[in-house]
Amino acid sequence: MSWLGTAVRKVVGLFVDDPTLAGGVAVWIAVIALLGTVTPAAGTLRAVALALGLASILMLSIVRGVPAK
Amino acid sequence: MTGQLVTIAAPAFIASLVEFVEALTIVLAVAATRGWRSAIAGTLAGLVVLVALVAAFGPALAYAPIGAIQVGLGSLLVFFGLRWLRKASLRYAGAIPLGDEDRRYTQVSAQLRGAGGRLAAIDVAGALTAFNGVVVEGLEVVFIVVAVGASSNSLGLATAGACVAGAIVVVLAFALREPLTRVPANTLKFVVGIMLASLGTLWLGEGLGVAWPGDDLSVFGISAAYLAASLLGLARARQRAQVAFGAVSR
Repeated sequence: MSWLGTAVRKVVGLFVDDPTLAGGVAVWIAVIALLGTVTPAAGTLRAVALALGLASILMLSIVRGVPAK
Repeated sequence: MTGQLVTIAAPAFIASLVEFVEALTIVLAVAATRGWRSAIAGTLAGLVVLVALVAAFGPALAYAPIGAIQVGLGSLLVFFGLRWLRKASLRYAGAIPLGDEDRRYTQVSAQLRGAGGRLAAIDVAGALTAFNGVVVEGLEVVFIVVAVGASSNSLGLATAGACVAGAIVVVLAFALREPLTRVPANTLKFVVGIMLASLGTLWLGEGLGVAWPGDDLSVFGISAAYLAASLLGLARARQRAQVAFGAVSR
């Protein structure tokens, strides 16, 4: 089954460079989805939160991409 | 007949044109950064899937779970686009050498060509991205045609409107093919990363049931947010790179 593990790792590698970025994005998507079940009326607010949240996660990931001295 | 052209073919044409342009954006982005072979392979695979779906389900496709499809494929596009955007930003910041990935991609492509012929030179990630774009946008075109055509029993006229829009977009693709090759590789990847992540976020949001202000036009606002985040992150990363590595390449 090692070939399956290798194949899965290769496919995941196409979309994931920084596990923190991928993890942050996945968690934020889950939060927005969960908010939809709690407050379905706040559609515009969730839209803004989705875009700004993902943009903020990206910004942090870029900064973290350079090791601190 | 003129009345039907205005009320059926024209709305189908305009709505389909918007979706086709979104698909074209993704296909051109893949073509410019991963090569035309990957873009065309993904596009053809997407078209085959679409034709098979339409042949198998026909107008019943209007009841497909488009929300789940948008969440799945939109998420993939967000992951893919943000990955590119991060790498392009880190190259500008000096943390990754400029041209590093291009060199590696060229080497791998050459090795694959040597090892397995033409098919092996197709970039899987690029082809998958083009495939995603064609399937999601293509499904939306099918929904538009079914919604506009079936409600007035003029499926043929609505299909014709969508086909004309598709033909215009194909001509546009050929016109833009040459100018894109003159854009520097990292700039292209930076812009493409923003476009893919923005479209992915738009679909993802639609699938999650959020209400985008201005509907599809909000893609410009999303792009602005990603651009601002990248530039801010890049500026901070450049400062850190100067401290960590000394001189920065650009």
